[in-house]
Amino acid sequence: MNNRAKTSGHELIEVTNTFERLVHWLFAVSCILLFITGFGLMFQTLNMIAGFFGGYYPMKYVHNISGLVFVASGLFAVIVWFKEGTKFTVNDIEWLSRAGGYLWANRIVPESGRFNAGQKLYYLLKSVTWILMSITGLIIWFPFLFSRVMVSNSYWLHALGVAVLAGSVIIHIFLGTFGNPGSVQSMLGGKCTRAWVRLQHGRWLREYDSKQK
Amino acid sequence: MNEKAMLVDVSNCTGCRGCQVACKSWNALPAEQTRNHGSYQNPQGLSPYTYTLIRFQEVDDGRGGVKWLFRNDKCFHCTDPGCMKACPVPGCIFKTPEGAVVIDPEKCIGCRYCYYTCPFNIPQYDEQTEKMSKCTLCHDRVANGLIPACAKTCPTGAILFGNREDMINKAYSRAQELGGTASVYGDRFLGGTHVMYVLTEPPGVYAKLPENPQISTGLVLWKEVLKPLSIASLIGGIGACFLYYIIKGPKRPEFEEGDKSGE
Amino acid sequence: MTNHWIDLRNSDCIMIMGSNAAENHPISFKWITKAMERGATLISVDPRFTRTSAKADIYAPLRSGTDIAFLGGMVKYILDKNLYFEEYTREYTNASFLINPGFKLPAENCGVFSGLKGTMTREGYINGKYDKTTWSFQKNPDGTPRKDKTLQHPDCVFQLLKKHFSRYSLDMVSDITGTPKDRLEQIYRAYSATGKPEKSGTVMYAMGWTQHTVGVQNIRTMAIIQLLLGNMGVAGGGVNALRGESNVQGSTDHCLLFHILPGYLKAPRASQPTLQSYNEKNTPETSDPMSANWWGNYPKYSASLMRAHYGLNTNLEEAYSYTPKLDDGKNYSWLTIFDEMYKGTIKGFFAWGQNPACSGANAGKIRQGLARLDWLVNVNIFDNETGSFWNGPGMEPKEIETEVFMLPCAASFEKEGSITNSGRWMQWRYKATEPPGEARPDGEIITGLFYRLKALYEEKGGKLPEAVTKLTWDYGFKLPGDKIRSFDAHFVAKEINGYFLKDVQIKGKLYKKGTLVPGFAYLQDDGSTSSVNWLYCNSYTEEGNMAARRDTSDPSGIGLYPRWSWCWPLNRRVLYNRASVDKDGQPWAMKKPVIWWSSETGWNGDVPDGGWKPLSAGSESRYPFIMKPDGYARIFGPGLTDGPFPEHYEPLECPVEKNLMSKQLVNPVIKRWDKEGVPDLDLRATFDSRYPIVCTTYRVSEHWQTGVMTRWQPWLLELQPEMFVEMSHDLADIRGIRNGDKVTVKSVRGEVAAVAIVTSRFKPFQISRNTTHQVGIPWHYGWRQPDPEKKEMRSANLLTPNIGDPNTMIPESKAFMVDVVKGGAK
Repeated sequence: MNNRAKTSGHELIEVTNTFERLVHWLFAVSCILLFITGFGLMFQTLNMIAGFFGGYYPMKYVHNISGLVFVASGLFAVIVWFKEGTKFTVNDIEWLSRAGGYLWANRIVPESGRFNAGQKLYYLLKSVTWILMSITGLIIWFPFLFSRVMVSNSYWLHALGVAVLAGSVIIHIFLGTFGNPGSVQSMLGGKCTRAWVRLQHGRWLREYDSKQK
Repeated sequence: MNEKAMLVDVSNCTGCRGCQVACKSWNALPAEQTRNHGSYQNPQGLSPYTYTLIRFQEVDDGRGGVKWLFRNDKCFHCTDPGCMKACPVPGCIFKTPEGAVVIDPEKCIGCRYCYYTCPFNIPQYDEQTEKMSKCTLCHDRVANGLIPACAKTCPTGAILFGNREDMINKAYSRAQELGGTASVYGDRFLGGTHVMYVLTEPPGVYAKLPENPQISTGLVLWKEVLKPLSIASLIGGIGACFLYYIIKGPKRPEFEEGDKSGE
Repeated sequence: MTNHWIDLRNSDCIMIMGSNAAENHPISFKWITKAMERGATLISVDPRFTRTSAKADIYAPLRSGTDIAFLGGMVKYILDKNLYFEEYTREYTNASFLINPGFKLPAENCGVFSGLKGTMTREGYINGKYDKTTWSFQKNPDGTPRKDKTLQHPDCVFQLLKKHFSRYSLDMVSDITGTPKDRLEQIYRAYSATGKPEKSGTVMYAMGWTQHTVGVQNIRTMAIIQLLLGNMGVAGGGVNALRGESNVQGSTDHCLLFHILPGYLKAPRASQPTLQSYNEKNTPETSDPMSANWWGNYPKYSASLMRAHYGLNTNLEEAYSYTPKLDDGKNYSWLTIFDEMYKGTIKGFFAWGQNPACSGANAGKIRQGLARLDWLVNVNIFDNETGSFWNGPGMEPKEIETEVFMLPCAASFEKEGSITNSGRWMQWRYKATEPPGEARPDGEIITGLFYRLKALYEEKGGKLPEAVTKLTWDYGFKLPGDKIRSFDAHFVAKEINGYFLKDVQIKGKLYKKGTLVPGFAYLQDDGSTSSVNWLYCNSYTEEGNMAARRDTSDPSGIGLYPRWSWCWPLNRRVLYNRASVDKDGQPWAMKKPVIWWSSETGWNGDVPDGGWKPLSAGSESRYPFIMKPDGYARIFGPGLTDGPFPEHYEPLECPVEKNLMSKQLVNPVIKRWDKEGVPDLDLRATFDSRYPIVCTTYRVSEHWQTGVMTRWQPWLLELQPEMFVEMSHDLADIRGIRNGDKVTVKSVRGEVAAVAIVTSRFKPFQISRNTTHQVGIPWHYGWRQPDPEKKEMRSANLLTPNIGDPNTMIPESKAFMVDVVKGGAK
């Protein structure tokens, strides 16, 4: 080891670039707004949400505009992380069979690259639901451009997407914050400690180090 | 019980369209710019400015002649209305004690869910106001002891209005009297509608009249399965994370020995 | 209507022919529906399957203009199968009367009745006139008609009728009308079943029967059927004219037409210089003491009318001398007026509540006529094609010198007054709102006109100024200077009813001067009473305005509602109701009696046609048809100009070269305007390959008349936005027209742009084994509204011929020849 300071566990390593973070947050914020307003539109009992937005009509607008941001940022997200999100290895299967070490394997899992298998799965889930929600959302927004069958089926498909996303987004947020302390930095400044990277993405760290030489 | 209903006896309808004009008059609806498309039917369909219309239809009588059918089309005012089920805004679509299903234009946000979930495609979207509208069964008149404008103006008694039970009885006795393919339409589905027909032909013969109208599976899936499921998903996600956090705790990065002197 | 709207519910068989009641009289179906719920049969006969046909039990198509053939077949069917009501026919009609042996039927006289003088052409006689000498009844030495109550005498009406209609066989009728034979038989069977005493059948007709060169005879044929079946005077029976305007019955009663004065008194002729000569000419006489001969009261009614016009300002003879008179032999009908206008002899014209530029047959000629006027006053609630004729399609405003004035008038709900509906009910209506802007009620406009004319006559004199200056004008409270403060319809209604002009003692009772006459039996011929219209005497009495009554009780049980409004004459709801009972005064139909006699209470039910005892009372009784001099209903009707029996003639323009029935193609006594080889606007194209399609005009529910009121109503325009032409799929295929295409309908007189409605409701006819097509067009459209800037010819009457029925001069707008081509009009 040449430079101790550089290899210290406290050393900050840039794990994401600005563009990725921008895409992430646009996507994230639109998602959350869509969730809140969407729940407001789905549950009449949650009418305080509409109250917060100044009524159902403005709430519908927020939902629609957020939807546009969702569609656009989602497109970038899908493209930007396409390579890493779709490439599964033998290690990933091992990782998954141990549920990422979160539940029963006592946290001993194969080292991950820049994306671990769980993140890859989440990427795929988000990609599929992004397509689903974008298409059904646009159909519901502009129903007169589509057939009656398409529109009436879009309603339940859109709701299906919500059911799938609601839980998974919560878990995503949890794992990115409380579940894995230090992770949130990857999406804030983009720089995480070497120790965190070693833990979460050991293989990627080795590749990183070898590139540094 | 003051549940009311309208009975449209198509065998008595002469297609004079007094109902169409009376409806526009009472509801202060503007006329549409129409043109003749090769039929007496006008406007071509329901619209935000046309809550009811007579559908004209020529069908073969099977003996070299023709039958000319007139059907007064309007909202059926279901007991179990798809539109109301789908509407996101509380109180925007409501039912009156008499059984009318009414859209409150003040509350409507123009999402059009009601149109696409109505088994009869009744509610109509107005591009100008971004609101939905449809027949109100003249609930404002009915609440004041009057009968709906269309029933009031009908010269032949083809549109009747009264207690729902009486209307159903009347419908069945009339259908029996007519015999042949005459039938009652509307009392059996969607919880029973508040606009019913005595039809002279089998329901499938009439344009824009579903033979077996029902709340679509999609709407049931949406409102009765996926809606609770999404809440379950949300709460389940939160719960799972919380449990994980208190049982297994966070996954912290481990610092090696050298890291401590790293500063 | 001899009966009334509500009475339709009492019928066992309703035949709608020459009318499209469901569309044009929608409210009639309230009562037809009730009859059908009771088991009545509804028959619809129409060239086109209409909204009426859609509700009918039996529908039959017929080619326009062949109604006499259709109905003649029914007369033959009834006689052949002995389905007529024997006692009724024998006792109440002139079936038993013997006719002059010199009388000849068309079958033995080249298709015309005996006595015709006219020009013979290859189509038969034209511009003929009948000498009716042979159309007379044989008389007994005492002057009463000779009768054979066995109905067997070869000269009796019954046998002549049988002989005449024996030619109307099913095959012949079907070849002429294009109606399938089985359908003819089905209808004949269903309708003649009402010949049983307890059954009644009714007919509802309108312009589909009248607007023909044989219009009156169409109705006559039906009247004969109704008499044979005993359907006159009974509940659910009658011959019912459905009037095309809410108050056209009232306006006819009050002399809308040129040939009558109010109450169907005859218009005076120049050859009747004195009231006495006028009365003598028009008062029929009878030698039969059992004939009421009601028109024998003629001098009382004419005297009362003179008094109503001039009051006590003149004596009766003077008043008569001021009354306008028609030149003998001259016709002053609509067609003649516009012909004179076209020739330039008429210089000024009030178009009052009408739109001749659209409503008149051969409207192109009318529009040219308007352009030759010095001035035209258009009184209407909206501007129309007449007021703006100078700005219409094909007109050059710079070249037209007619000065046009528009006088906006109040609509019906902006003034008070009465209307008389088809059922002869005079119903009072109240003012709902003030007229807008400068619009004023017609009565006020006329009053203003009268005062100005009177002042002019007083100042400048002129021909017979007294005719105007001596008129009474008591139509409101008088101001100093004898003018009225404002026009008040109640004063008019009272004058129509009539006053006692001096204290009169009648049947021991004293009637004070200035009081209202209680009924026409009190009118006098000595000038002591006034009454504009004797038929309306009893409508506004000292007991009040009868027309304003609104009591919905019905003690009769058959829907007479005797205390709802008022009905002429004397509140009698069913005319000829004395024919609804047998000679003992007992109803033929016990379940729906109109009147019945009881020795204790006398007549019960409706107001009887005279209070005399039933026929079995002998000399204390009178025959039931009191308006006829002999008291019998006329199966043989010598009063008409074109024959005592109906005979089938083709319309002026027809798709056939020959009349299958005889050598006489068209009605021989119609006044022909067209002259062969003279190119003017009075054109005719019959059996002409350029115009091979039969055309008829009609109305739809959504518009009214020429649409002057309804085309300005957006809700109605929305329902029926534009001119259309209905045609069969077969014809559309031949002409390459698809549903909704723009097409042009053209006749020899003009062209009209329309949208094609290609429909299964029109089917081609088989006329003598040739396929004949028919189309139909509504006459509601013009160019003034909507789309005035388009200036498109859309008025159906640009196509119709100016030819009239010889009795009434009503134009034949229901049957003429056209062609239909794809594309717009030039």
